[in-house]
Amino acid sequence: MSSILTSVVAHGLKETLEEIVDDSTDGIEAAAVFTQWCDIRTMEDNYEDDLEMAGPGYASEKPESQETAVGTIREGAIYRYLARTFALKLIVSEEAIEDVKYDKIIDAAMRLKRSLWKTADVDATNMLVRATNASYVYGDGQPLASNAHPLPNGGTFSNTLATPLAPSRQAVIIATSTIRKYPGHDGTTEGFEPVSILSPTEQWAEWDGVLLSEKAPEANQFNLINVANRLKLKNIPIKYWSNTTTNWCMTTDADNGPNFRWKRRPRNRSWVDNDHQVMKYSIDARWSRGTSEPRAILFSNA
Amino acid sequence: MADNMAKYGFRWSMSANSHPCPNPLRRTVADGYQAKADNTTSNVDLNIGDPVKAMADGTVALCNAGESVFGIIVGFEPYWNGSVMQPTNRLPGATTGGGLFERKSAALVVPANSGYWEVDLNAVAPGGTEATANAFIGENFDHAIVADVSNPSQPKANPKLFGAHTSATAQWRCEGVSTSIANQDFTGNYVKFIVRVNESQETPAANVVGV
Repeated sequence: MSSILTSVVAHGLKETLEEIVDDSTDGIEAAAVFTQWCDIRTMEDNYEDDLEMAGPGYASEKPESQETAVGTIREGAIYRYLARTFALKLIVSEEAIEDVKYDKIIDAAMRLKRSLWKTADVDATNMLVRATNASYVYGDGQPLASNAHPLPNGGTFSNTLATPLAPSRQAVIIATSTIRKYPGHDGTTEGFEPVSILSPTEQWAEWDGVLLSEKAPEANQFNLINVANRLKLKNIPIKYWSNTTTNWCMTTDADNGPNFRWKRRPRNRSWVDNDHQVMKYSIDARWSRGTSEPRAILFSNA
Repeated sequence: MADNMAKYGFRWSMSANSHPCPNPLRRTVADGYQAKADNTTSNVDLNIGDPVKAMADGTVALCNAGESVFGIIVGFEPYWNGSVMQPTNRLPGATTGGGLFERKSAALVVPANSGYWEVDLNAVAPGGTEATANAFIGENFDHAIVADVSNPSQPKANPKLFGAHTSATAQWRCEGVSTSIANQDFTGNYVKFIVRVNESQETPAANVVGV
């Protein structure tokens, strides 16, 4: 469709309606999901770069009087964040503005706000949707979840489970152990702590059972403490994660993981086109999203 | 795999001549006109987003697959519902004003050649990837009228882009893959494309007699 003319909103031209049945536009910003699992930042320039650096690793044992071994540092991958612009406008005829009897029908500003925040949510979630898609790679040449993230000094590491696991206490145990042994950028064992579990919405009940039970939630194991519960992990079901019901990922406390950078927060405009006698309402924003740290997640690609 | 959210018909995407507003023309619809889907058995109403062709009597009618396109419906004037002129978001089939000038049905139609239009593909895009979808750019498509009668009291023509090929005689030329975030899964139905009219009744490069 294009412009909003009186015929587009024909049933709102007289006060005959009891309710306007439509999607809610209340609290749309607060309802955004990506703010729960992305680090929300701002960016100043057209693009920003994050640089991976690797230290010298371990020290050497030095015989008496021998020269101290020399270490070095090495640059790794560059992660570039390009500001992208998202925008939408509504064109409403003056006749429609004058004649529609219900504010809620056109409600251009709130409709546009809903569109933009939903778009931001879906765009952020695409990081997870495309997590294993080799067409969508990051600065290290790998998708978000890969078993071959390169290390600056050579070698690779994996941030995806070799054997995918369904939501379970065992999955949490294996994932946590893997995360606690993640290599650092210099290749030495670093280790991180799990923070939350991101999952498609369909898994919420399974994760609640795994994470909230005080005792092990498996038959004949009810006297065993539930270590998954002691980790105090939070499950964040993501309703926009649409390409799977079986994948999930655990986030870690590694810095610079999935993040969302506002270049320009949502901005509303309205203006009149006198030639056509229409009002135009628009919303636009600029942002970038991505991750510079594969260690910030462990993915299960079931 | 998940289907991308469906949107109805042809939607104004942007102008072809830099004027950022669709500019509709008023075109009447013949008394008693009943639009039919491609299969010619399903009666459908005219809806906003439907493609139309210009008829010899000055009216417009639903443009079915393979026919030259005049424009896209963006609105209607009130129609005669048998007792009053009724504001409407669709023109029911077989509406008649009884031949009276003041009861004529009329649609507001934006000539197809004045803009770029967004439209859904009527299937999974062959190849199922963003790359294969991009490969359609420059190719020509017909549209299909695949009647949506899921609400029997509001039967819709439900135009969609149909198939992909390079025939010069197809109705639309693919000019891009829509950048709408609604294009989330290229293995799903309803991937959105940006098209321009290829078989137009309003020839943009008409031969001017005497020049």
